[in-house]
Amino acid sequence: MPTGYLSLVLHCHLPYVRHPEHDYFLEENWFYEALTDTYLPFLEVFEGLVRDGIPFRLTLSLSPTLIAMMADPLLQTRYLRHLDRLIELSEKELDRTRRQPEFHAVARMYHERFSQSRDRFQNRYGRNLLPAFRRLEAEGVLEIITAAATHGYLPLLGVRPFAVRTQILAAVDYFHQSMGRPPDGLWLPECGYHPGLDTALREAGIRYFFVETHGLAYAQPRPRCGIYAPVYCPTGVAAFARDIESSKQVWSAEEGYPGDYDYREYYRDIGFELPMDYIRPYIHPDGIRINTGIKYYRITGKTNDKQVYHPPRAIEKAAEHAGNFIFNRQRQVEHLASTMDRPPLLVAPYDAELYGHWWFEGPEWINMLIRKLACDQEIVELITPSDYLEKFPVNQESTPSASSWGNKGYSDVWLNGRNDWVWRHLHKAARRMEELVNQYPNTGGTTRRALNQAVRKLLLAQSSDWPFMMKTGQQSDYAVKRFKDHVLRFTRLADEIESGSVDEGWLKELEERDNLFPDLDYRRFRTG
Amino acid sequence: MKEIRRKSSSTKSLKAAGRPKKNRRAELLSLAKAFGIKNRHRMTRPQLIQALESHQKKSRISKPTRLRAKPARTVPTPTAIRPKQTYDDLPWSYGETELVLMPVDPFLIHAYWDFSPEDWKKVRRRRRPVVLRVYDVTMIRFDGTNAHSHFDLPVALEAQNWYVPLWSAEKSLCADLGWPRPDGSFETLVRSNGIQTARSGVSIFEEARWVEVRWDRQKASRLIRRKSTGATPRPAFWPQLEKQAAGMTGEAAGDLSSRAIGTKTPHKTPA
Repeated sequence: MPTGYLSLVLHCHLPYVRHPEHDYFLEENWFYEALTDTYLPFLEVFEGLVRDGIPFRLTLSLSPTLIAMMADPLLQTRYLRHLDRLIELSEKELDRTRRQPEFHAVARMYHERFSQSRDRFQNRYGRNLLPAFRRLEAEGVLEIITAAATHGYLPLLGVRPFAVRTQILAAVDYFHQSMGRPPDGLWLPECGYHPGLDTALREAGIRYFFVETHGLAYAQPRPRCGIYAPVYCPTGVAAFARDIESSKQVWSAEEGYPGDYDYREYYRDIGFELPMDYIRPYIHPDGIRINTGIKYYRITGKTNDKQVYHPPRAIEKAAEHAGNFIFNRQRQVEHLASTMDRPPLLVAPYDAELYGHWWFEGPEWINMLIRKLACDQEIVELITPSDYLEKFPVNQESTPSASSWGNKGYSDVWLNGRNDWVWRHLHKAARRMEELVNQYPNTGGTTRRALNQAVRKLLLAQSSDWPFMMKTGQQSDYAVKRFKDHVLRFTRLADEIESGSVDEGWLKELEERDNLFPDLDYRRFRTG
Repeated sequence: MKEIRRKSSSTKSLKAAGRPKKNRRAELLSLAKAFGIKNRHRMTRPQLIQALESHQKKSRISKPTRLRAKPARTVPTPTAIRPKQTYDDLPWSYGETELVLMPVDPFLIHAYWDFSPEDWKKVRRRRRPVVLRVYDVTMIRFDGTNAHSHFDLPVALEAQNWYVPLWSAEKSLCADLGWPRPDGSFETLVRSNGIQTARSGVSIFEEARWVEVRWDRQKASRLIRRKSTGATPRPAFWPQLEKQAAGMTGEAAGDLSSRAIGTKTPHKTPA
């Protein structure tokens, strides 16, 4: 038996951004960039590990909105178009840098990377990555779980329990339809938990969830094993807590690995650096400069005089950092094991987009981490939450404390002077939806379609991404617009349902535009 | 901020709620940031106070100054409430009387309210200002009269929302909007939902109950067996863990909630 366990959890989420009404939509790039930078590299790493016979267990949380976007034919087609433009740009870059060997080597790396991404996306995965993730789960290396339907921040939606229940049930149902089985675990958006939430999780058949460090450290009664073992809520649903030490080594701006000077610099993109005449076809059609994904420099240091990126050196550093991470975890579990009656469990959850998108070498770090854990040592073993609960079905009963992983550990990020106005509309809409669902317990035809679409609209408005973006000020206008659009369309649908005069043409338009959760049935959310 | 809140001992009234008793520079800076005052970092404490006061005069912010800034919004008079939804913009009011509380953190709650047109008329007819009365109803079944304690907070009704700082965590709270009577009773216009604020430190309860849960994936059901009970010794790692947990919830805590998408800047940039 190993001295301790490490549970790596990668949380993959993007808000639902799909605009068929526009030929080009800037915010759709979030999804395309995440595919190229994070999800395709993840698949390459995991498949490589399986091919080489490396045993590992890793938890992947796929949010329902991300699953919906991955499965959407329009976005799949547009992603290929996006890649074609990148390949064309990288070809031009090969020519432009031909007399600068250092830059040329990096340009070649991008060209190969984009071309391979296209080939794998189109030919190997048939444009949809979900079956590939499912295959990896069938291989026994991944445990795939889900998140709340549209990543709603549940502690504040909880003013209307109907809203929380809808977020959870819609997520579980959609996951079941997409992946062929219900999820064992559910990622609480932003790790937002409040006592009582586990009741809705239990109703949905969820076995476990994650909370922030202080969610378990401040649990009542005080957990004897601290955050190094899960607790069972009174409902029997297990809560696992994030280990802050292992998280900080990757996240922290000061101490974290991604800030190493040999790693690629994110903020020096040719979309902002090359002459407009040259770069114009590859940025926003209106001439707004954006990131293209081609970046030639390494972080170098706290200077603007950046050095050229050297991929082999960066890969070497990723391997070194993986070794350092393991060394630290070994010391950590050895120290903890001496004080506990069971092997300590370290839970290390991360936003998946950190790997590859922000930290370019992140997927390679995970690759090296898993290989070293499997081949070079026996002190720390990778485990998933379900496996842990099978091995250790006896745990302490305790109620976690209200908490989130946002700034200051509570709800400040989603409830402050910049975004507090959204909650009155969300609560009102949830109450109205609940009344409608109970008022029409079993209707059919157009009214049923309108009720289903109203639930979709409500869910889309509830996404935690909108208040988050309002708070940070990044793409805040877009967040406000999306939020208002969803609430207003919900209101109009509700009005039309109540008056018995649903505009069928408009409803069809809405169904085509916001087409996520196609099998959603409003009757599932009845409370009365 | 927490220090200041904890220092407040009276639970009967909080006249200066929302206004730091002692204006530390850090608090003044955060207020200045919220109001978008430029060059604030170069200012001394008196200069900050002056700048904030002049900003208040300019923007006519209703007193007391709130700890958290709200976006400036044009607040229409109740008569401007549209009788029919036009779907162009979100309504200022839904025309229903309600008061909703939400916990922000262990020491801060948020209240928002809305009134029916009749209730708007009612509050305008009355000359006396409406106050928000917050009740501590921890561990009791509240009947309107049996709260452990309460405090009153004058609020600007047209603002439709307010942040209420607290001086102790882990409380069950609810609130009324209305008018205090001379005899100490309260004329309630609307009562809020009940909320529970979070614990701000480790629990004092150490009794450990161990439970065995057997999970049936096919049925998604659980078999729960209660095992043993009793206090158990606290392992040696606890002091370190307590320190880490406190670090997660302090003013200087890092934000790990970033959604690393598109051109959005993460809170913790790698560089």
